[in-house]
Amino acid sequence: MMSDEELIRAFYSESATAEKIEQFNQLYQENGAFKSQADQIKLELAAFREEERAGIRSKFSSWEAEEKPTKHIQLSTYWKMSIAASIVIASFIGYQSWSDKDLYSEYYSAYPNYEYTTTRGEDEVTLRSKAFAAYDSKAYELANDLFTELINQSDQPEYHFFRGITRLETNNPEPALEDFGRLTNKDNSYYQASLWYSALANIKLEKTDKASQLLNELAQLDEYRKEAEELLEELDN
Amino acid sequence: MSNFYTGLSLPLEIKATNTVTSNKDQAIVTGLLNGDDKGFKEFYLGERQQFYDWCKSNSSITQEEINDLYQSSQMYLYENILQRRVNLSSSLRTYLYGIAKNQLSTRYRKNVTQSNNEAAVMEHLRFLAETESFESQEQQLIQKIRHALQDLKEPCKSILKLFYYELLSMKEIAEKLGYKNDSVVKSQKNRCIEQLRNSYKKGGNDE
Repeated sequence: MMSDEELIRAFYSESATAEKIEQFNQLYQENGAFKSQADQIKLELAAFREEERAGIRSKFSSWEAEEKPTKHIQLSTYWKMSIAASIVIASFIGYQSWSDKDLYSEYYSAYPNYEYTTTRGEDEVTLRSKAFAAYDSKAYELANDLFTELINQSDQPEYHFFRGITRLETNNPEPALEDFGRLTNKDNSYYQASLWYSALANIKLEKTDKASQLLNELAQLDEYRKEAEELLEELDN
Repeated sequence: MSNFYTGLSLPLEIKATNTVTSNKDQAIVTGLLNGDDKGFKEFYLGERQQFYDWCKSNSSITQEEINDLYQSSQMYLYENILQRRVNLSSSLRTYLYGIAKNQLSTRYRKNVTQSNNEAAVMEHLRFLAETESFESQEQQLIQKIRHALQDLKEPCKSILKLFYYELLSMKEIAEKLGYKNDSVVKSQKNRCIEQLRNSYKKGGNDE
Protein backbone atom coordinates (compact mmCIF):
# COMPACT_ATOMS: atom_id res chain seq x y z
CA MET A 1 0.00 0.00 0.00
CA MET A 2 1.45 3.29 -1.10
CA SER A 3 1.49 6.09 1.46
CA ASP A 4 0.20 9.56 0.57
CA GLU A 5 3.76 10.78 0.56
CA GLU A 6 4.87 8.05 -1.85
CA LEU A 7 1.87 8.76 -4.06
CA ILE A 8 2.76 12.46 -4.20
CA ARG A 9 6.41 11.66 -4.85
CA ALA A 10 5.48 9.30 -7.68
CA PHE A 11 3.11 11.86 -9.21
CA TYR A 12 5.63 14.71 -9.27
CA SER A 13 8.48 12.46 -10.40
CA GLU A 14 6.43 11.14 -13.31
CA SER A 15 6.64 7.62 -11.90
CA ALA A 16 2.96 7.12 -11.20
CA THR A 17 0.79 4.66 -13.11
CA ALA A 18 -2.44 5.85 -14.74
CA GLU A 19 -4.39 4.44 -11.80
CA LYS A 20 -2.22 6.33 -9.29
CA ILE A 21 -2.50 9.55 -11.27
CA GLU A 22 -6.26 9.28 -11.09
CA GLN A 23 -6.07 8.58 -7.35
CA PHE A 24 -3.79 11.60 -6.88
CA ASN A 25 -6.08 13.94 -8.84
CA GLN A 26 -9.12 12.84 -6.89
CA LEU A 27 -7.44 13.31 -3.51
CA TYR A 28 -5.96 16.65 -4.60
CA GLN A 29 -9.40 17.99 -5.50
CA GLU A 30 -11.35 16.59 -2.58
CA ASN A 31 -8.97 16.55 0.37
CA GLY A 32 -7.55 19.89 1.59
CA ALA A 33 -4.92 18.31 3.85
CA PHE A 34 -3.67 16.14 0.99
CA LYS A 35 -3.50 19.17 -1.31
CA SER A 36 -1.39 21.12 1.23
CA GLN A 37 0.93 18.16 1.68
CA ALA A 38 1.25 17.72 -2.09
CA ASP A 39 2.01 21.41 -2.64
CA GLN A 40 4.74 21.27 -0.02
CA ILE A 41 6.31 18.05 -1.28
CA LYS A 42 6.26 19.33 -4.86
CA LEU A 43 8.56 22.20 -3.88
CA GLU A 44 10.76 19.95 -1.75
CA LEU A 45 11.17 17.53 -4.64
CA ALA A 46 12.15 20.43 -6.90
CA ALA A 47 14.70 21.59 -4.33
CA PHE A 48 16.22 18.10 -4.05
CA ARG A 49 16.36 17.82 -7.81
CA GLU A 50 17.98 21.24 -8.28
CA GLU A 51 20.48 20.56 -5.53
CA GLU A 52 21.48 17.13 -6.82
CA ARG A 53 21.67 18.31 -10.42
CA ALA A 54 23.87 21.23 -9.47
CA GLY A 55 26.16 18.76 -7.71
CA ILE A 56 26.27 16.45 -10.74
CA ARG A 57 27.03 19.30 -13.13
CA SER A 58 29.69 20.62 -10.79
CA LYS A 59 31.24 17.16 -10.69
CA PHE A 60 31.23 17.01 -14.50
CA SER A 61 32.89 20.44 -14.68
CA SER A 62 35.60 19.35 -12.29
CA TRP A 63 36.21 16.20 -14.38
CA GLU A 64 36.54 18.37 -17.46
CA ALA A 65 38.88 20.74 -15.65
CA GLU A 66 41.09 17.80 -14.66
CA GLU A 67 41.39 16.95 -18.34
CA LYS A 68 42.78 20.39 -19.21
CA PRO A 69 46.33 20.17 -17.82
CA THR A 70 47.44 23.67 -18.82
CA LYS A 71 44.41 25.36 -17.34
CA HIS A 72 44.63 23.17 -14.29
CA ILE A 73 48.24 24.10 -13.68
CA GLN A 74 47.41 27.78 -14.12
CA LEU A 75 44.54 27.51 -11.71
CA SER A 76 46.57 25.56 -9.21
CA THR A 77 49.30 28.15 -9.24
CA TYR A 78 46.76 30.93 -8.92
CA TRP A 79 45.03 29.26 -6.01
CA LYS A 80 48.28 28.32 -4.32
CA MET A 81 49.19 32.00 -4.45
CA SER A 82 45.72 32.95 -3.23
CA ILE A 83 45.90 30.48 -0.39
CA ALA A 84 49.37 31.71 0.51
CA ALA A 85 48.10 35.29 0.44
CA SER A 86 45.11 34.30 2.56
CA ILE A 87 47.39 32.69 5.12
CA VAL A 88 49.48 35.85 5.29
CA ILE A 89 46.37 38.01 5.66
CA ALA A 90 44.85 35.62 8.19
CA SER A 91 48.06 35.53 10.21
CA PHE A 92 48.29 39.29 10.12
CA ILE A 93 44.69 39.75 11.19
CA GLY A 94 45.05 37.06 13.81
CA TYR A 95 48.12 38.72 15.23
CA GLN A 96 46.56 42.17 15.30
CA SER A 97 43.10 41.47 16.60
CA TRP A 98 40.62 38.67 17.02
CA SER A 99 37.63 40.92 17.54
CA ASP A 100 37.12 42.15 13.96
CA LYS A 101 37.64 38.66 12.58
CA ASP A 102 34.99 37.40 14.97
CA LEU A 103 32.59 40.13 13.88
CA TYR A 104 33.18 39.16 10.28
CA SER A 105 32.44 35.49 11.02
CA GLU A 106 29.40 36.45 13.04
CA TYR A 107 27.81 38.56 10.33
CA TYR A 108 29.05 36.97 7.14
CA SER A 109 27.12 34.37 5.19
CA ALA A 110 27.25 33.78 1.43
CA TYR A 111 24.58 35.59 -0.55
CA PRO A 112 21.88 33.10 -1.57
CA ASN A 113 21.36 32.75 -5.30
CA TYR A 114 17.66 33.52 -5.68
CA GLU A 115 17.97 34.98 -9.15
CA TYR A 116 19.43 32.51 -11.53
CA THR A 117 16.82 29.81 -11.97
CA THR A 118 13.97 32.26 -12.49
CA THR A 119 15.64 34.63 -14.90
CA ARG A 120 17.86 32.65 -17.19
CA GLY A 121 16.93 32.41 -20.85
CA GLU A 122 17.36 29.53 -23.19
CA ASP A 123 20.42 31.07 -24.81
CA GLU A 124 22.23 31.40 -21.50
CA VAL A 125 22.05 27.84 -20.20
CA THR A 126 25.75 27.33 -20.64
CA LEU A 127 28.66 29.03 -18.95
CA ARG A 128 26.26 31.02 -16.76
CA SER A 129 24.43 27.90 -15.63
CA LYS A 130 27.75 26.26 -14.78
CA ALA A 131 28.92 29.28 -12.82
CA PHE A 132 25.77 29.40 -10.71
CA ALA A 133 25.72 25.63 -10.32
CA ALA A 134 29.27 25.81 -8.95
CA TYR A 135 28.26 28.72 -6.70
CA ASP A 136 25.22 26.86 -5.38
CA SER A 137 27.37 23.80 -4.73
CA LYS A 138 29.84 25.93 -2.77
CA ALA A 139 32.56 25.07 -5.31
CA TYR A 140 33.77 28.65 -4.98
CA GLU A 141 37.14 28.26 -6.65
CA LEU A 142 35.52 26.84 -9.75
CA ALA A 143 32.73 29.46 -9.56
CA ASN A 144 35.33 32.24 -9.39
CA ASP A 145 36.98 30.92 -12.52
CA LEU A 146 33.67 30.64 -14.38
CA PHE A 147 32.46 34.11 -13.35
CA THR A 148 35.78 35.49 -14.59
CA GLU A 149 35.17 33.82 -17.95
CA LEU A 150 31.65 35.28 -18.01
CA ILE A 151 32.97 38.77 -17.23
CA ASN A 152 35.47 38.44 -20.07
CA GLN A 153 32.58 37.64 -22.39
CA SER A 154 30.06 40.12 -21.03
CA ASP A 155 30.93 42.58 -18.29
CA GLN A 156 27.71 42.40 -16.24
CA PRO A 157 27.44 43.87 -12.71
CA GLU A 158 25.69 40.67 -11.57
CA TYR A 159 28.75 38.58 -12.43
CA HIS A 160 31.02 40.95 -10.52
CA PHE A 161 28.76 40.68 -7.52
CA PHE A 162 28.80 36.88 -7.40
CA ARG A 163 32.53 36.74 -8.16
CA GLY A 164 33.01 39.12 -5.23
CA ILE A 165 31.24 36.63 -2.95
CA THR A 166 33.35 33.74 -4.26
CA ARG A 167 36.44 35.81 -3.49
CA LEU A 168 35.28 36.45 0.06
CA GLU A 169 34.57 32.75 0.41
CA THR A 170 38.13 31.99 -0.67
CA ASN A 171 39.66 34.58 1.65
CA ASN A 172 40.42 37.22 -0.95
CA PRO A 173 38.72 40.34 0.43
CA GLU A 174 40.76 42.88 -1.55
CA PRO A 175 39.89 41.57 -5.03
CA ALA A 176 36.34 41.09 -3.73
CA LEU A 177 36.22 44.82 -2.97
CA GLU A 178 37.23 45.55 -6.56
CA ASP A 179 34.24 43.53 -7.76
CA PHE A 180 31.77 45.14 -5.36
CA GLY A 181 33.18 48.53 -6.41
CA ARG A 182 31.74 47.86 -9.88
CA LEU A 183 28.19 48.05 -8.54
CA THR A 184 27.92 51.77 -7.91
CA ASN A 185 24.61 52.27 -9.70
CA LYS A 186 21.96 52.69 -7.01
CA ASP A 187 19.31 51.26 -9.32
CA ASN A 188 21.14 47.95 -9.52
CA SER A 189 19.37 45.25 -7.52
CA TYR A 190 22.70 44.21 -5.97
CA TYR A 191 23.70 47.73 -4.93
CA GLN A 192 22.78 47.44 -1.24
CA ALA A 193 24.10 43.89 -0.98
CA SER A 194 27.39 45.11 -2.47
CA LEU A 195 27.64 47.79 0.20
CA TRP A 196 27.00 45.19 2.88
CA TYR A 197 29.64 42.78 1.63
CA SER A 198 32.07 45.64 1.06
CA ALA A 199 31.60 46.63 4.70
CA LEU A 200 32.30 43.05 5.77
CA ALA A 201 35.37 42.83 3.53
CA ASN A 202 36.70 46.02 5.11
CA ILE A 203 36.12 44.60 8.57
CA LYS A 204 38.09 41.55 7.55
CA LEU A 205 40.89 43.84 6.39
CA GLU A 206 40.72 45.80 9.67
CA LYS A 207 39.64 48.93 7.83
CA THR A 208 36.97 49.79 10.34
CA ASP A 209 36.65 53.47 9.37
CA LYS A 210 35.75 52.52 5.82
CA ALA A 211 33.46 49.77 7.09
CA SER A 212 31.66 52.25 9.36
CA GLN A 213 31.21 54.68 6.50
CA LEU A 214 29.56 51.99 4.37
CA LEU A 215 27.42 50.75 7.25
CA ASN A 216 26.21 54.29 7.94
CA GLU A 217 25.15 54.53 4.32
CA LEU A 218 23.34 51.18 4.60
CA ALA A 219 21.60 52.30 7.79
CA GLN A 220 19.89 54.99 5.71
CA LEU A 221 18.59 52.40 3.25
CA ASP A 222 16.19 49.50 3.72
CA GLU A 223 17.61 46.06 2.86
CA TYR A 224 20.40 45.79 5.44
CA ARG A 225 19.38 48.55 7.86
CA LYS A 226 18.92 46.28 10.87
CA GLU A 227 22.20 44.42 10.35
CA ALA A 228 24.09 47.64 9.62
CA GLU A 229 22.85 49.32 12.80
CA GLU A 230 23.74 46.27 14.90
CA LEU A 231 27.19 45.97 13.40
CA LEU A 232 27.86 49.69 13.80
CA GLU A 233 27.01 49.40 17.46
CA GLU A 234 29.37 46.46 17.87
CA LEU A 235 32.16 48.30 16.09
CA ASP A 236 31.73 51.26 18.42
CA ASN A 237 32.09 49.06 21.52
CA MET B 1 21.22 25.06 -43.21
CA SER B 2 21.30 22.64 -40.37
CA ASN B 3 20.76 18.97 -41.01
CA PHE B 4 18.49 18.94 -37.98
CA TYR B 5 15.67 20.08 -40.19
CA THR B 6 15.93 16.89 -42.18
CA GLY B 7 16.45 14.68 -39.17
CA LEU B 8 19.54 13.29 -37.49
CA SER B 9 21.08 9.89 -37.40
CA LEU B 10 24.00 8.49 -35.52
CA PRO B 11 27.32 8.08 -37.31
CA LEU B 12 27.81 4.61 -38.79
CA GLU B 13 30.58 3.68 -36.41
CA ILE B 14 28.29 4.36 -33.47
CA LYS B 15 25.40 2.42 -35.00
CA ALA B 16 27.67 -0.56 -35.48
CA THR B 17 28.49 -0.88 -31.80
CA ASN B 18 25.64 0.56 -29.84
CA THR B 19 23.09 -2.21 -29.80
CA VAL B 20 24.99 -4.57 -27.58
CA THR B 21 25.12 -3.92 -23.88
CA SER B 22 28.65 -4.47 -22.74
CA ASN B 23 29.87 -5.70 -19.39
CA LYS B 24 31.59 -2.36 -19.11
CA ASP B 25 28.24 -0.52 -19.29
CA GLN B 26 26.84 -2.86 -16.66
CA ALA B 27 29.83 -2.14 -14.44
CA ILE B 28 29.33 1.62 -14.87
CA VAL B 29 25.68 1.39 -13.86
CA THR B 30 26.33 -0.95 -10.95
CA GLY B 31 29.19 1.24 -9.78
CA LEU B 32 27.06 4.38 -9.84
CA LEU B 33 24.24 2.69 -7.94
CA ASN B 34 26.78 1.71 -5.30
CA GLY B 35 28.26 5.18 -5.01
CA ASP B 36 31.31 4.60 -7.23
CA ASP B 37 31.43 7.02 -10.17
CA LYS B 38 34.88 6.10 -11.56
CA GLY B 39 33.39 4.14 -14.45
CA PHE B 40 30.93 6.89 -15.28
CA LYS B 41 33.74 9.43 -15.23
CA GLU B 42 35.66 7.38 -17.76
CA PHE B 43 32.52 7.11 -19.92
CA TYR B 44 31.85 10.87 -19.59
CA LEU B 45 35.34 11.89 -20.62
CA GLY B 46 35.67 9.15 -23.25
CA GLU B 47 32.50 10.03 -25.17
CA ARG B 48 33.00 13.77 -25.22
CA GLN B 49 35.09 14.23 -28.34
CA GLN B 50 32.97 11.98 -30.52
CA PHE B 51 29.81 13.70 -29.27
CA TYR B 52 31.25 17.12 -30.09
CA ASP B 53 32.26 15.96 -33.57
CA TRP B 54 28.80 14.50 -34.14
CA CYS B 55 27.12 17.76 -33.09
CA LYS B 56 29.45 19.91 -35.14
CA SER B 57 28.98 17.91 -38.31
CA ASN B 58 25.21 17.65 -37.90
CA SER B 59 24.03 20.87 -36.35
CA SER B 60 24.23 24.61 -36.34
CA ILE B 61 24.29 25.04 -32.58
CA THR B 62 27.24 26.92 -31.09
CA GLN B 63 30.23 25.41 -29.32
CA GLU B 64 28.89 26.65 -26.00
CA GLU B 65 25.50 25.09 -26.70
CA ILE B 66 27.21 21.81 -27.59
CA ASN B 67 29.11 21.93 -24.28
CA ASP B 68 25.90 22.47 -22.40
CA LEU B 69 24.01 19.87 -24.43
CA TYR B 70 26.69 17.29 -23.60
CA GLN B 71 26.64 18.11 -19.92
CA SER B 72 22.86 18.14 -19.62
CA SER B 73 22.51 14.90 -21.63
CA GLN B 74 25.04 13.17 -19.37
CA MET B 75 23.31 14.68 -16.34
CA TYR B 76 19.97 13.19 -17.39
CA LEU B 77 21.64 9.85 -18.05
CA TYR B 78 23.29 9.94 -14.61
CA GLU B 79 19.97 10.86 -12.99
CA ASN B 80 18.02 8.17 -14.80
CA ILE B 81 20.60 5.57 -13.78
CA LEU B 82 20.27 6.64 -10.13
CA GLN B 83 16.49 6.45 -10.44
CA ARG B 84 16.72 2.90 -11.83
CA ARG B 85 15.18 3.86 -15.16
CA VAL B 86 18.09 2.63 -17.27
CA ASN B 87 17.64 -1.10 -17.79
CA LEU B 88 20.51 -1.56 -20.26
CA SER B 89 18.38 -3.13 -22.94
CA SER B 90 20.63 -0.92 -25.09
CA SER B 91 24.11 0.46 -24.59
CA LEU B 92 24.80 3.56 -22.53
CA ARG B 93 25.89 5.26 -25.73
CA THR B 94 22.45 4.67 -27.26
CA TYR B 95 20.90 6.21 -24.16
CA LEU B 96 23.26 9.18 -24.36
CA TYR B 97 22.49 10.00 -27.98
CA GLY B 98 18.79 9.34 -27.49
CA ILE B 99 18.76 11.83 -24.63
CA ALA B 100 20.78 14.36 -26.65
CA LYS B 101 18.28 14.18 -29.50
CA ASN B 102 15.43 14.57 -27.04
CA GLN B 103 17.15 17.69 -25.67
CA LEU B 104 17.80 19.08 -29.14
CA SER B 105 14.15 18.66 -29.89
CA THR B 106 12.81 20.20 -26.67
CA ARG B 107 15.42 22.87 -25.95
CA TYR B 108 16.54 23.98 -29.37
CA ARG B 109 13.36 23.15 -31.29
CA LYS B 110 15.30 20.99 -33.72
CA ASN B 111 13.54 18.41 -35.82
CA VAL B 112 15.29 15.23 -34.77
CA THR B 113 14.70 11.66 -35.84
CA GLN B 114 15.24 8.96 -33.26
CA SER B 115 16.40 5.52 -34.32
CA ASN B 116 14.15 2.61 -33.31
CA ASN B 117 16.58 1.66 -30.57
CA GLU B 118 16.68 5.16 -29.15
CA ALA B 119 12.92 5.60 -29.29
CA ALA B 120 12.51 2.34 -27.38
CA VAL B 121 14.86 3.26 -24.53
CA MET B 122 13.49 6.79 -24.23
CA GLU B 123 10.12 5.43 -23.13
CA HIS B 124 11.60 4.45 -19.78
CA LEU B 125 13.44 7.70 -19.10
CA ARG B 126 12.21 10.96 -17.57
CA PHE B 127 13.41 14.46 -18.34
CA LEU B 128 11.92 16.73 -15.72
CA ALA B 129 12.81 20.26 -16.76
CA GLU B 130 16.04 21.78 -15.51
CA THR B 131 14.24 25.07 -14.99
CA GLU B 132 10.73 24.47 -13.84
CA SER B 133 8.01 27.07 -13.98
CA PHE B 134 7.36 28.21 -10.46
CA GLU B 135 5.99 31.45 -9.16
CA SER B 136 8.67 33.79 -7.85
CA GLN B 137 7.62 33.14 -4.24
CA GLU B 138 7.77 29.39 -4.76
CA GLN B 139 11.18 29.70 -6.39
CA GLN B 140 12.45 31.61 -3.36
CA LEU B 141 11.16 28.88 -1.08
CA ILE B 142 12.88 26.24 -3.22
CA GLN B 143 16.17 28.09 -2.78
CA LYS B 144 15.62 28.23 0.99
CA ILE B 145 14.99 24.48 1.03
CA ARG B 146 18.21 23.99 -0.92
CA HIS B 147 20.17 25.98 1.62
CA ALA B 148 18.60 23.99 4.45
CA LEU B 149 19.55 20.80 2.58
CA GLN B 150 23.17 21.89 2.40
CA ASP B 151 23.26 22.21 6.18
CA LEU B 152 21.69 18.82 6.78
CA LYS B 153 23.84 16.22 8.56
CA GLU B 154 24.08 12.47 8.10
CA PRO B 155 22.17 10.18 8.13
CA CYS B 156 19.39 12.62 7.17
CA LYS B 157 21.20 13.82 4.08
CA SER B 158 21.50 10.32 2.63
CA ILE B 159 18.06 9.12 3.66
CA LEU B 160 16.25 12.12 2.20
CA LYS B 161 18.34 12.07 -0.96
CA LEU B 162 17.56 8.37 -1.50
CA PHE B 163 13.86 8.95 -0.85
CA TYR B 164 13.23 12.24 -2.66
CA TYR B 165 15.79 12.15 -5.46
CA GLU B 166 16.65 8.52 -6.13
CA LEU B 167 13.00 7.60 -5.41
CA LEU B 168 13.85 4.43 -3.47
CA SER B 169 11.34 2.59 -1.30
CA MET B 170 11.80 2.40 2.48
CA LYS B 171 12.84 -1.22 2.12
CA GLU B 172 15.49 -0.36 -0.47
CA ILE B 173 16.83 2.46 1.68
CA ALA B 174 17.01 0.12 4.68
CA GLU B 175 19.03 -2.38 2.65
CA LYS B 176 21.30 0.24 1.17
CA LEU B 177 22.09 1.99 4.44
CA GLY B 178 22.11 -1.12 6.61
CA TYR B 179 19.04 -0.39 8.72
CA LYS B 180 17.27 -3.24 10.51
CA ASN B 181 14.01 -2.82 8.57
CA ASP B 182 11.88 -0.35 6.64
CA SER B 183 9.95 0.77 9.74
CA VAL B 184 13.17 2.06 11.32
CA VAL B 185 13.99 3.98 8.13
CA LYS B 186 10.48 5.39 7.93
CA SER B 187 10.70 6.78 11.48
CA GLN B 188 14.15 8.18 10.83
CA LYS B 189 13.01 9.70 7.52
CA ASN B 190 10.03 11.38 9.21
CA ARG B 191 12.34 12.92 11.82
CA CYS B 192 14.70 14.09 9.08
CA ILE B 193 12.01 15.74 6.97
CA GLU B 194 10.63 17.45 10.06
CA GLN B 195 14.12 18.74 10.84
CA LEU B 196 14.50 20.00 7.28
CA ARG B 197 11.11 21.72 7.33
CA ASN B 198 11.82 23.38 10.66
CA SER B 199 15.12 24.59 9.27
CA TYR B 200 13.83 26.19 6.08
CA LYS B 201 10.70 27.58 7.71
CA LYS B 202 12.77 29.13 10.49
CA GLY B 203 15.11 30.59 7.87
CA GLY B 204 12.10 32.06 6.12
CA ASN B 205 10.77 33.72 9.25
CA ASP B 206 14.11 35.28 10.06
CA GLU B 207 14.27 37.18 6.82
